[in-house]
Amino acid sequence: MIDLKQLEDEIDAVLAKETEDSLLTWLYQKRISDMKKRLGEGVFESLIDCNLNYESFFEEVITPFIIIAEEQSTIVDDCNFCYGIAA
Amino acid sequence: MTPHLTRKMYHTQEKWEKPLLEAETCYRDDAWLGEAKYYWYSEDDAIFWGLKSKRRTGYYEIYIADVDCSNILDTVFNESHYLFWIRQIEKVAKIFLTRAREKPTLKELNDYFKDKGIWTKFDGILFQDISNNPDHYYVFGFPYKKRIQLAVYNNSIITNFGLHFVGQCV
Repeated sequence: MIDLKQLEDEIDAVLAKETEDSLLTWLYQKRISDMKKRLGEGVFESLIDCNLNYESFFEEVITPFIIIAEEQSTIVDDCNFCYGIAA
Repeated sequence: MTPHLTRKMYHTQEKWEKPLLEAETCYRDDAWLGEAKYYWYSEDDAIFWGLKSKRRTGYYEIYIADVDCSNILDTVFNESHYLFWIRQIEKVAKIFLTRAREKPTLKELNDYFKDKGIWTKFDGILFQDISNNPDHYYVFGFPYKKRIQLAVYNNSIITNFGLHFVGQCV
């Protein structure tokens, strides 16, 4: 029979020690390890050991493309226009 | 002394060249209760799962086993276990939200409980959902029947595991 009271006390004791840092470290390590598992075997530089964080990936400033839309105009070839009328 | 509660339960798989000697472990990320051997409470649900999700070889297999349920977390029939279960899930999820501003996924939640040694205090978790497939019910628009599964973490509670029958996917 499961001692629910004892189990809940153990869970509460684990959770009481958790801080923002400990939770995020656990979560990011878990996500990176899962990603490695999905990638399969191979050399993969550890991101945690290099003291990088996720913000590092977004430091590069990307210059957005500037789209210059030229004003559209209809150029009428006077000669052809005249020819057209003449025809 | 804890009374032994043994249930006949069912495991569904695709048809293999040789029958299984024990249930396959499910490693899917979206498995509700993580890596475990999953058993159905009802033979009907085991067959339904074979017809729906084990179609690759054209045949599915239903295995039957005796399962000692005396040390499982029973969130289906045991009210105190159910209330305990709700409290723990929400407690952990809320702590991730409030302290780390992150909402864990189902897999992360399961991995957290496993990493912290919490899921190892019992042999498995009995849980349920409700099928939204109308073919599952004999009454139109009334999902009256629970669909119950056991996630087994400790394979020693399984005895007399064997092939029950082979069905054809139609």
